Amino acid sequence: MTFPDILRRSWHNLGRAKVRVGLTAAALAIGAATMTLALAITQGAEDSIQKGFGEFKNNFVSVDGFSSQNTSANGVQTTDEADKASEELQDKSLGVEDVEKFKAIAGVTQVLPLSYYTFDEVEINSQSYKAPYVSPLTPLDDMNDLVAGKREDLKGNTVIIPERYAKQAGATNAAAFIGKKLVFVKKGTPAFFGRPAQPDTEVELTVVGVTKSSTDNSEADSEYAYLSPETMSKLADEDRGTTKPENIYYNQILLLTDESQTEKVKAQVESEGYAAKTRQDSVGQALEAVNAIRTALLVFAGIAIFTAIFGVVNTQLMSVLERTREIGIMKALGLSRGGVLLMFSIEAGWIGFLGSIIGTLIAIPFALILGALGGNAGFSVPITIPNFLLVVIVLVIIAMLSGFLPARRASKLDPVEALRNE
Amino acid sequence: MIQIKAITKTYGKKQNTFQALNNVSLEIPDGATVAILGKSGSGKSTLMHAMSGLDRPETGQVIINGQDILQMKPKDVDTFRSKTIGFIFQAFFVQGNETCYDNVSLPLEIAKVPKSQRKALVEEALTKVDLTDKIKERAKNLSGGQKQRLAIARAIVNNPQILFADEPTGNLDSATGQMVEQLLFDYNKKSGTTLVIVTHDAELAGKCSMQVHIKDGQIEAIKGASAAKASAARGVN
Repeated sequence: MTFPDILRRSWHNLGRAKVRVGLTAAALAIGAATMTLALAITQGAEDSIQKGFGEFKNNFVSVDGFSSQNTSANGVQTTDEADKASEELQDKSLGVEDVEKFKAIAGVTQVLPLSYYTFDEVEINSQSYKAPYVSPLTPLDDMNDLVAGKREDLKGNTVIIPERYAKQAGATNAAAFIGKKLVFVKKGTPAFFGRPAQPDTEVELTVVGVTKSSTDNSEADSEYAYLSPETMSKLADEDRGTTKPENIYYNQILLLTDESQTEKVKAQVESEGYAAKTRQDSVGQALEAVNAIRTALLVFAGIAIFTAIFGVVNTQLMSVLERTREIGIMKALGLSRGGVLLMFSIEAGWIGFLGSIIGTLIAIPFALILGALGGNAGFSVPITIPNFLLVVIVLVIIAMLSGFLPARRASKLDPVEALRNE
Repeated sequence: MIQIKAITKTYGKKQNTFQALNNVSLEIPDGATVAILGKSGSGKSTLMHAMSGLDRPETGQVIINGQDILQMKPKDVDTFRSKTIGFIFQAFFVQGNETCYDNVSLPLEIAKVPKSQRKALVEEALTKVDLTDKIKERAKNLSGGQKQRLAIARAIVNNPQILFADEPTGNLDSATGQMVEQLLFDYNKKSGTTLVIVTHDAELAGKCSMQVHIKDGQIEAIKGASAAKASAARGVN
């Protein structure tokens, strides 16, 4: 018998015991639904990680400081050694000479020293509001959500700010917000144990760009305002009272690289005692966590599918017993052992196929509900075509393997016995 | 030509052995109609199974078309059966939930006849047994006589060289039985297919050109046109 004929005949054969086959498929479907949801949830997590890290390009190395080096012989430090190492690490900070060193590394296209600075308040029309977090704008920020202004205008005392501040400035739309002057304030500290009082720092910044704001107010904290890296560094240095260039230090130095050179640059930087991280590292850590969750959920699905296997074996054993005569006829007509084996295995495979389809149909409403719940947090639960196909293939293969034992019994049947007139 | 040389078939193990066939030799010319007669348990069905390659005697030879099928691999015997042999059973053994078309198409599928050729062959076979109007009907909706005609269509669809019929009229009333007999003998005349009927119906056996009487696993007598030749063959062994 050719394969298409076997496929067709075994499908027809399922129709004979609809209730029995339906119940067996339903048992498999529970496993299939669990598997579908496990894959959909982790797919959603993966998608949101990828989205969070922007378009995935492994084209930079971030140097955040120095790695602590354990110098003791067998890895166990005395407390003195540990204290000393920790002090040394604190004293060492990224400075101008580090920037120069990085510039010399092959594969580095640009070296961006970054400092962080925070404001407490922003004054708009003499009214004080909580200030947004400010971040230095780097080439890694794609600024896809810029709705007014140009990123090139971000120099000196200028700012790119989320749209939600526009209304406070009396601007009816994002474009009208451009050119407004806002006063950003960092609160000073009062005199304390002999330390002189620090006055408030006020900086007037002109709006040169406006980014899209979410309609969800809880998202406000995740919307950043951007300053140029130079302005940020200047503010940070002034805040620390740094005047000499050799005393300037940075929170982070960003090395832009050719994508192909990234890992090499990272290795080079690390060999010189710095702590370095690539986007690959950040994404990789997050994806590893997702993988662990996926494995856990798939174990549940596996248990459900495993119990359903017994149903498939049972159903197919009954089917073989009921159809002794038919198997005898087919063998008498010249169907080989292998043909009978294949026919009954495929029949079991069809049950797996039905189970995977029913399971997916069960999973869809759950995925929609979970997706709706996670929608606000930008989290979706997508049932993708590749994941659907994976579920179908896995269930068909498992069902076929479960059907092997009954199929083998069918193939071994003696046609002479089966066709006795009794 | 079917040549059977000294076949022996034993069932059971150790003390409980039962010799179904004991040193049986037989020769059946092409196109003959042969009745194998005997009581229940005489070994007549076992002889048929041995001739068709369904069963394997321990000793002897079953030579069909000059080839000993007992020497062939199981898979090759399967292929041989699918191309050379047709079966008809007392209890019909048609698939009730399948259409007449699918029932008749089964041997063609097993023999891997290309799909394009099947339709014409199935229709031709159903025409020969006068069931063309039932082509899309499910077999369970047919009467007993119609079921046996359907079984005949299934047996002849692949134009077999040998047709084995095991009590073909045993489950039918005499009028319907007559019709089925007529169908089988007509087919034998038109196509030249060798017809081997296992029966204990003496009247049906009388219509065959050759009668083989079996008792206790041995050939008791061979009568009819080819009897002399067959007896000679028996004498050799």
